[in-house]
Amino acid sequence: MRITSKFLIPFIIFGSIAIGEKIQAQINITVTGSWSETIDASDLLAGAGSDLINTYESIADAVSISISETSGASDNWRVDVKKVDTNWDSSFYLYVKRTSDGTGGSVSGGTAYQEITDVDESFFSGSDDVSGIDIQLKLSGVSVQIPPDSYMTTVYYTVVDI
Amino acid sequence: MKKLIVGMAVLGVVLGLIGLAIAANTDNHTVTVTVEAINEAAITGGDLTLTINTATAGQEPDDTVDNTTCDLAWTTNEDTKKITVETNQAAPTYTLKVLAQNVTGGTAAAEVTLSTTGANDFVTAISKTTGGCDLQYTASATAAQGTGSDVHTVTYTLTAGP
Repeated sequence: MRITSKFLIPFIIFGSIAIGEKIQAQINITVTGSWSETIDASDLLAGAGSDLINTYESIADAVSISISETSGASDNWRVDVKKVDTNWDSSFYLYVKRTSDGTGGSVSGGTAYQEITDVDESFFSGSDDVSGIDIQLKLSGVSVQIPPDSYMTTVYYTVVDI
Repeated sequence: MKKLIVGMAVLGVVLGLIGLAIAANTDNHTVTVTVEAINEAAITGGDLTLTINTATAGQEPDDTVDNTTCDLAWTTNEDTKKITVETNQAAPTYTLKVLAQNVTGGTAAAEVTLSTTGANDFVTAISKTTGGCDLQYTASATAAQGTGSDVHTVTYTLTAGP
């Protein structure tokens, strides 16, 4: 009985901690909006004989992020961002930045454009529930070297409880 | 008692693992970039008047050449394009020729005599590029053709072709 308890006690402790983590792990992220950009002859720098404008920006609130179901002001979180390409030209560079603090808890970082790559990278952080964090996107690398087509990538935002 | 302890431990571990599994929550949006076919050509320099009014005694009138007034510029984001040239003048009295000079973004074709024989290749081998050239017009007449004038509306077309 003594030996059994010796092995079970760590399991109970781990289980209790794990249960606690589960309670804290219900933090949720909701992303609304998207960005579509059409590039045509009107985007030539100076008409025929010139190249296309290299860089395009979405409106400042093209995408909105909300963080919910935190355990309160002491519940800190971080949002990571990455993209998964469906049909994406290798000349394209996609950037993201945060343009508002939203309402609710606190948010910090992410106010300068950062490139979205194929791996998760820290975007911004905060605490407590926050709604309506506005996101702006930027595309660069456009030129006449890119053939006509419809290009698409999916941007993933992951909230990590920290 | 022993069964209860074991049961609690197993439950704790299971719930803990579930909790850890949902500790990061993800949502996404798409970014779509539509690049339309761009095939633009434009003439700069405006209308051109060529006057034949000199000759060496005993010879036909001198040709009149202009290669500084008009330029042609183009932009395409497609492959295998060419520029053709044609006139609307149904029955020109005098000879008018045009040649692409100082070509960038393509290959000059041979000098074209503008007639009603339809479109002639002017610049070929144009692919996903910006380009331009000087338009060199040469007007010539024989003494036997007398005085008068021809009016040409010259059309350059960026079209499919090698």
